[in-house]
Amino acid sequence: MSSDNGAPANDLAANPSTTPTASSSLAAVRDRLLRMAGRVEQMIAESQSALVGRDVALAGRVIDLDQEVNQAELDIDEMCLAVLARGQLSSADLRFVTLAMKMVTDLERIADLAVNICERAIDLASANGIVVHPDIPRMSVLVRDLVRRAIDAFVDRDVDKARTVIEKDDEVDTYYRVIFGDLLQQMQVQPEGLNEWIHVQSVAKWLERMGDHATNLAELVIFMVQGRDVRHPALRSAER
Amino acid sequence: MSVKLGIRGKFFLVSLAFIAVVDVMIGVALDHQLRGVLQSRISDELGRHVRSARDGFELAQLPPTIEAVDAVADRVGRSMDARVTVVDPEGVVLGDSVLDSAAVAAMESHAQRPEIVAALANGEGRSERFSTTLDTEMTYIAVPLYDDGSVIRVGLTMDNVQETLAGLRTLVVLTGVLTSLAAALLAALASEFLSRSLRRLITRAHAIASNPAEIARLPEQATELGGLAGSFNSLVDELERTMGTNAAERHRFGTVLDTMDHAVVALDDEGRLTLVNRHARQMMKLPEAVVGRPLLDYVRVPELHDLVSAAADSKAASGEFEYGATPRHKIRAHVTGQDAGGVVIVMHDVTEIRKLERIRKDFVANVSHELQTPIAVIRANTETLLAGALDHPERSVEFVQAVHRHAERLGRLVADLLDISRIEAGQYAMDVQSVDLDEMVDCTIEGLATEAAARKMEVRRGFDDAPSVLADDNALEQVLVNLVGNAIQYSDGGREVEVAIVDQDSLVRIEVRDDGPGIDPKHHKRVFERFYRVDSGRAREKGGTGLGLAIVKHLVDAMGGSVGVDARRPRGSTFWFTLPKAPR
Repeated sequence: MSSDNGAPANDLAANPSTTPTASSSLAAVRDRLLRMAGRVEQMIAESQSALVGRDVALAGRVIDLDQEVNQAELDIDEMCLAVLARGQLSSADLRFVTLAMKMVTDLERIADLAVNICERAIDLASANGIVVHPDIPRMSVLVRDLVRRAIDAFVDRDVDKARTVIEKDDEVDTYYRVIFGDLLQQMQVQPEGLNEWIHVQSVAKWLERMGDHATNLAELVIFMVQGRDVRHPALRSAER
Repeated sequence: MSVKLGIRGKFFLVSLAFIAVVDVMIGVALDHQLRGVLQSRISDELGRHVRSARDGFELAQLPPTIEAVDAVADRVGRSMDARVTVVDPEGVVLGDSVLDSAAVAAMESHAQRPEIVAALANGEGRSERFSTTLDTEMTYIAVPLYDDGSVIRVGLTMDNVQETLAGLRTLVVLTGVLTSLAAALLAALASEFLSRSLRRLITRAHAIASNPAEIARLPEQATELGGLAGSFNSLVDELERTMGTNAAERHRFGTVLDTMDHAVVALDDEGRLTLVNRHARQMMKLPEAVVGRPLLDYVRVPELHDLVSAAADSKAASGEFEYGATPRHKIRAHVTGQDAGGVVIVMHDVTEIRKLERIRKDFVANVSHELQTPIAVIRANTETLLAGALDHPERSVEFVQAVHRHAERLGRLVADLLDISRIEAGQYAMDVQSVDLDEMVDCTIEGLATEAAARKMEVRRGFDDAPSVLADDNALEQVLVNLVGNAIQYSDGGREVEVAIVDQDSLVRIEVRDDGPGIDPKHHKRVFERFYRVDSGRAREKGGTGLGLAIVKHLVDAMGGSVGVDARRPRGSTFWFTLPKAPR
């Protein structure tokens, strides 16, 4: 945890260039953001439970939760804009606010993907036989762990933890390739289940997308702590 | 005062001011006293002078002309070293010792001079005033002359007095400065001593405040500050006692909290952690230093935070939520709002309780169902026999066979149930010893070969050499037969069952893999429950009691291992169990 870059999140009051009202608004943004992240983690977990347990009621509840996440996105954006409009922020606080606005977008996308999975869970609940690929629950657990780690890295301002998220995203991609290969084979062997196989393939694709959003979150955390943009490394090296 | 002075500076300044005030007062008093003494002496002298001058004039019987009088006045004045003035009844000056005759003639009338008016009225007049004639401060005394309204006046300049007083003032100021300097030095020394004692006291108090464990007493002296040190030391004793009591109290409180079976977490009114017991640390997987950080940093369960908000408003709230990765734990939380702000959260893990509740509920429903089916069949068949089928021996055989088949089934069910309850109650006589897995697996495969062949399946041994395990051989055989038998029976469309062995350090994991349709992940956690059926109709039709896997689980548990089921890719299932490895 590096404390030499100012401290927008953990000890706002310690930052001399930030007024007390601004620091309390930033703390409120942080609080709201963490609550939203908690809700999103829960949605990932329950979308998986609904899919595997063929629990249509649970899937419905998760879909309803999306409203709350959307509201949180709007609220946080508004809070951030209000803080920006008041001005007088240190560069570290400015990074925090822009980061919060971007994180909210990624979190909201993850919630949308969880909703998509729940919609497929409802479709698949009445399917005959086994349709959920055995790696799907494992993949879902991994993705949720990545989102959780990214948020923890944000909380602890821990660049190393953020980097593990970026590294572990490769495992998510591996799961996706394996599942996709297996499903392709199944489709050829059992073409009558094509409908279900395609649904399962979409679920795997969405989980893979969630992993990408978790990577985005981790990259934003590194930016917040170090003030260095680690996105698109290829672009950067080409510039030099 | 904007400049902050230490105790020493203040003491010094006060002493200095005191000395300066005393000096000034002494100077003023001396000045006043001396002036009085000098003035009374001068006026006595003047009194004597004026009387002898008058006597002289009266004896001389001078004519009242300026020429006669002024010459005498000049002589008398010279001998007296004073100013002698003679004024006639009209106020005309007839003679003055300090002026010549011409100047005397030019002088204004002295009839209105205060000392002359007083002399004519009372017989003697005095006055201290500024003489416009001589341009200096003078003291005059006048008395009547010749008794005809003339007046003789003698005056002395005050210059002498002023000079004496000035000399005295210089002396007073000089001694004042000297004594001030000496006093300042002494005050500085005294204040230094005083402040040194006070500073020692302060340093000690600071040391105790910053490190309460290091309690040191002050040397007590028989001075006023020594008394302070004494009170200070008794305060320290009291503090030490209180701290001891507090530490014991805190230790007891901490022990009680940590040995509690419940997770306890306290939050302040801003949602920051103020107290976490050991169980809570384990349950929430919290790092060491969490006190003072927001709970939201570590635990982001929306339900829990909703409960906290609810409790802050209405004093108490409870609810359940799921927590952790896999398996998700069910946690029941009770949140109580504190009067002083903040909340206390008490949580316990109800995963096991909820699971047992569900199993018991399902068991009662399932066992009645499992028993009812054969009983209903037996009843229907016997009723048919009694109703007349007995008279047709060729038909009645069918009914009796059905009765027999279901009675057998009931018997198996009851035997299995008895087995389970015996294992559960620890009454199943286990003889745990080193068992050769190679031989045991071969034996099982051989025993089930016919059944496998009937379903066009092959059971294969997927390892070369297996370590020995610690197990009861009857129990182990039953576990293997149940698992491999299930794999054969329920693998529709499967071709092969493989028994594999994974060496896991101190454990051996035995896997039974099939390539059948597999089991929906939904059922994975529950297949080892009594009477739990993945597909109830089909399984019963195959003659299963619904207890085979439950028996496997109980036997393996009793031998110190664990069981589970995983899905295989692309299809099929792996049932596995572990056993402790036998020492070589």
